[in-house]
Amino acid sequence: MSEIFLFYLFGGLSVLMTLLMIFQTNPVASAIYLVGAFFGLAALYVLLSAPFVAVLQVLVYAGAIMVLFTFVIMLLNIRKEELVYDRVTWRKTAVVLTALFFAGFLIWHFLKIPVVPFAPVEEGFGEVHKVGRLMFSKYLIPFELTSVLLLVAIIGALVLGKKE
Amino acid sequence: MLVLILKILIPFLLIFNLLPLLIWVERKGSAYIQDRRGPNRASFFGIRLGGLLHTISDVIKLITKEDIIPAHVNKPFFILAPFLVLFVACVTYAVIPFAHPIEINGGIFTFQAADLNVGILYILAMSSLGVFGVLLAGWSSNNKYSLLGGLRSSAQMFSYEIAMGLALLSVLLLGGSLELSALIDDQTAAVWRWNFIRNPLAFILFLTAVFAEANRLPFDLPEGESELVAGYHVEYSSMKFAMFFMAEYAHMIVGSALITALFFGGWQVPFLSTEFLRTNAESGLFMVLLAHGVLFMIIGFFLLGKFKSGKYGDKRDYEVIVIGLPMTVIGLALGLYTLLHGSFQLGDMGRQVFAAVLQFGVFMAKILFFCWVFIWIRWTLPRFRYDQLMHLGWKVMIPLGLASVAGTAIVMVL
Amino acid sequence: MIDLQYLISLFHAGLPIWILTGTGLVCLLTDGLWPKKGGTAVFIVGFLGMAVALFFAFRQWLSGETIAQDLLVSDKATRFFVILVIFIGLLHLLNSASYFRLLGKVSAGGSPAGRLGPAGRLGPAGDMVTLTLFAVVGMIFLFASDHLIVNFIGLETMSLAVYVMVGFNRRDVRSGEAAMKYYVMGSVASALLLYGIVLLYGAVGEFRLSEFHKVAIFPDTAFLPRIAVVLMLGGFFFKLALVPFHFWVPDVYEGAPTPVTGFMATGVKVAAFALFIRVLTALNYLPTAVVSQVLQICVILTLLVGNLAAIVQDNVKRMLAYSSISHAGYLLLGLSVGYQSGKFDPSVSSAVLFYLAGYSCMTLGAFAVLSVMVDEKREATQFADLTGLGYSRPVLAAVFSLFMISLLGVPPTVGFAAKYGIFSFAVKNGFIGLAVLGMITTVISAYYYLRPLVMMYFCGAPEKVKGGEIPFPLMLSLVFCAVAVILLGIWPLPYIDMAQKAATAFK
Repeated sequence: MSEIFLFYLFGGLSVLMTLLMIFQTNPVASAIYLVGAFFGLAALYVLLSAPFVAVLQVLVYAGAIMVLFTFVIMLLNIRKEELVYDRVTWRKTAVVLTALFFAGFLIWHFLKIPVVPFAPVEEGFGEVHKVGRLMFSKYLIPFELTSVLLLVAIIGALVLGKKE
Repeated sequence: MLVLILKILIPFLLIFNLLPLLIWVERKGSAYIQDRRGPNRASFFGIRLGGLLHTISDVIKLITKEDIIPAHVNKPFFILAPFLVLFVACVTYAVIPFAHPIEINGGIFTFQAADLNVGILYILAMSSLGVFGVLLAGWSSNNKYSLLGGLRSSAQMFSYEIAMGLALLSVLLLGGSLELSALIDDQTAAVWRWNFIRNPLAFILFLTAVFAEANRLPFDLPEGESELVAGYHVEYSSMKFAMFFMAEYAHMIVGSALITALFFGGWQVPFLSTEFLRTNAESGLFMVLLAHGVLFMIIGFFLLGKFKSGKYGDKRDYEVIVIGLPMTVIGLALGLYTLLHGSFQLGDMGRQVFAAVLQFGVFMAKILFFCWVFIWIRWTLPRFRYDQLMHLGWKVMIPLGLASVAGTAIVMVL
Repeated sequence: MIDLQYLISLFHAGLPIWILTGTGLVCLLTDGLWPKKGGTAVFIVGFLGMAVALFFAFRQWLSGETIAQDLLVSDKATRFFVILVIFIGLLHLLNSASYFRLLGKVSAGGSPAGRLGPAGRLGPAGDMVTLTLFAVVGMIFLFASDHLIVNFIGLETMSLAVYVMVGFNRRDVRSGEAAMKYYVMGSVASALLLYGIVLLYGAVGEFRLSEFHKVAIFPDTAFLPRIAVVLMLGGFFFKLALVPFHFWVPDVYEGAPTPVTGFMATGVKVAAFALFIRVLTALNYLPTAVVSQVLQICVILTLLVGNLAAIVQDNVKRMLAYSSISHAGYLLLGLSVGYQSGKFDPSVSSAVLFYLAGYSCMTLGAFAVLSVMVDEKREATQFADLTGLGYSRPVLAAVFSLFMISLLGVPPTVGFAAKYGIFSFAVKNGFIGLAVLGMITTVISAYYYLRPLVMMYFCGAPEKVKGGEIPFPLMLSLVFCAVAVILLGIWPLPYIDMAQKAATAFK
């Protein structure tokens, strides 16, 4: 029961933080709320017995990526006056309503899925040893391909950012 | 539940009790390195205790001062930032074990708030979060110097985190685990199995990275008094300023604890394994108590010998007696009691507790030594220039870190 | 611990890929170790590496045996596409080898010497080679696996490399704008695709396309695959530049450096189509009946919009952008006629595979010609710039005419053979309406494909004679494309046979 409670607690936290992030006018505040949302997600991963993923979530997303994000936002130093505020128009209202309709449609359908009790995960599921072993045996190809992807990203950043 | 709360509280209490002591050590140490006397003015009924009272008066001053929040700051983040900095500095301690686990009624009691199986990653995650506090403080102050300090700090922490991660990677390759307790077990009591001997390169890298993470000299560019006034905390006053100050020392303590745990065998007593300590607990206790008695007596006699009537002509003359006499008496009593009592009879529990206490003491001694190294280096080395800092981080430490990982891996496979 | 046997079989199955990746790394090192030499050394290394990879890909194709690997598929279909994609990569290397030098030399002539440095280096062209290699690796992984996550990472690798290549011409604002546009839009498309993949996983509990026939769909979750497929189609349509998701194409194609445009119009499309066929085949086992209708509507829109919008363009690159949209429409037509009573029959894709090969040759050739068209710091790709080209540079004009005619689909070029294959399948499977539409739009396309010819030959001599030799690598690429266009046009049977062998491997 406490697990359900924790799930709703952290799930609610992430949703709340994400909403706050969207409705902020201050970009730095948005970034910080996003970090909060990531923490909620990390907690959810722990509940799903994936502690490794949870720590990586904090380490990579909250720690590394968001710091860089915040760094860039601060360097840009956007002032409040420079931000363009959207006006409410009929078209935007229609778009939002359509989006809400689809969201409702999805939620309605998801709620209809019967709850099936899952088999408990095996011993050591989601721990570093297991994940590491999988990554270097079964999922060797995507793992190495990801390093190529990152390498391309680095080269790309250099090519576009290098002084002539 | 109570045990858990205690486990959580003890590291915090440890850090917060070490803080004032470290500040005193820093002041006195810097004074002796620079060949001056250091703080010795604050007094309590004329007793000055060699500047130790300065810390207390500092605390009183910082708490009672007006807490100014400038009008131009971003208030929520301005308030949040110091808490974040201090919080992150302290929670890292949760995964550091300070003694060999003991068995109580068949259950295992670990001397560690949380024995995570991803301990090392947790350390990395927390230290990467530490940037946020500094960054937020710098930005929310809405001040050029603060912002520059914050940006510098985050760039610096970010750069050195990679090298730190690589050094940690070599260590976990050696230990074959991400759990700190397993890493310490792996190092054993034999000194040549400690990681600073097995992989000195990783040790040096980690030491440097920890200095950078703690924003200590020679990496204290975020503060850079000469060019940035005081960097990210220039707008802070009163207790909020003190929190940044405390966070710096907390970082030092945690960094020392990490260095100790990862490279210096953690709580391992040199050459004496836990089994050895437990089997020989009775004679060990006898020797330890006797040694303490002798030590206290030596210090007491040394202090008493310093007494010279009319040296200063005021109450300071009697300081050495106020401290020295009780110490001599305690030492004498302890030594005599131990000698007269003869051998001790310890139960199974007692043996374990003795081993744990001794290990804890050794662990603390190692931590304090590294804290001193922090202070020592601060007052010895000059500050880097910013480009030198970046050059060192990216072009020297990261390649060396990669070499360390690759070398370790090759040696492990062979 | 480490299964050596597994690693060895993995090595054999993906030999061309490993060669390409290794060459990419070597290129990076070469560029770093001899920065003074410019891109030449890197170009040679990259070209040789690709050629070796192509050799091994051919050997794999000829060897015939299918090596089943966990996450790496190495069947006939995959090998066909590997060969095609490596070919495209090679031609792209040739096309781009001299492009930046040309652009730089011309601009250096107009400005004080030395501003651009030695040989008018405009952007480090060595990086272009490296990026091309990694892009090709990404393309191969995009279809050489039946695991959707691997496909996705491959897609991202390819896309990232191409985003950067689009923005490579950093002196040109349009290049940067195009890169930014492509990047933002492409990210949205990738996100759509990823959402689709994840929802599909939620519905069937399986990432492996080859395992889809085993999964059971419960009526409670039957809505999930539908939503998933809609999202995935969105992502695919974006990458394939089909009509509801085509709005980015003209700007990006125009702004990108000309050789890169050719690479995008061929490589990205080929790879995405390869995966698309695989996914469509796997979706047969899921209750997603609407797909064929969606495809047909998309075909109609694409053919009409692509062909009609191409008419009003006055930039050749922009015109070719719309032309590539309409060609994607013909390709999709070839796929959508494979639907019989709601099930996709992958054997029709033989025509599509052949079309892809032919389309790649003629499009790359056309863009190779445009790569030479450089004038005073900018690309001279307006229709007006073609005026009198038939007299000032007769060879270039002749080859360009050949590619235009082939794109139009006139015998004896490959364009005719390819279109004939697709329309005949359409008629055979009873999609007369679509076939007729395809033919009508082909006729419409004659207007804009023949316009360059008119400009080149019948609009008088050029105001000033713009001569100049064609650089050797580009010449190589032009000759290859022209020969391929004619050869595949007059004697297509061996290649159709290849395509059929490959198409039967989609199961």
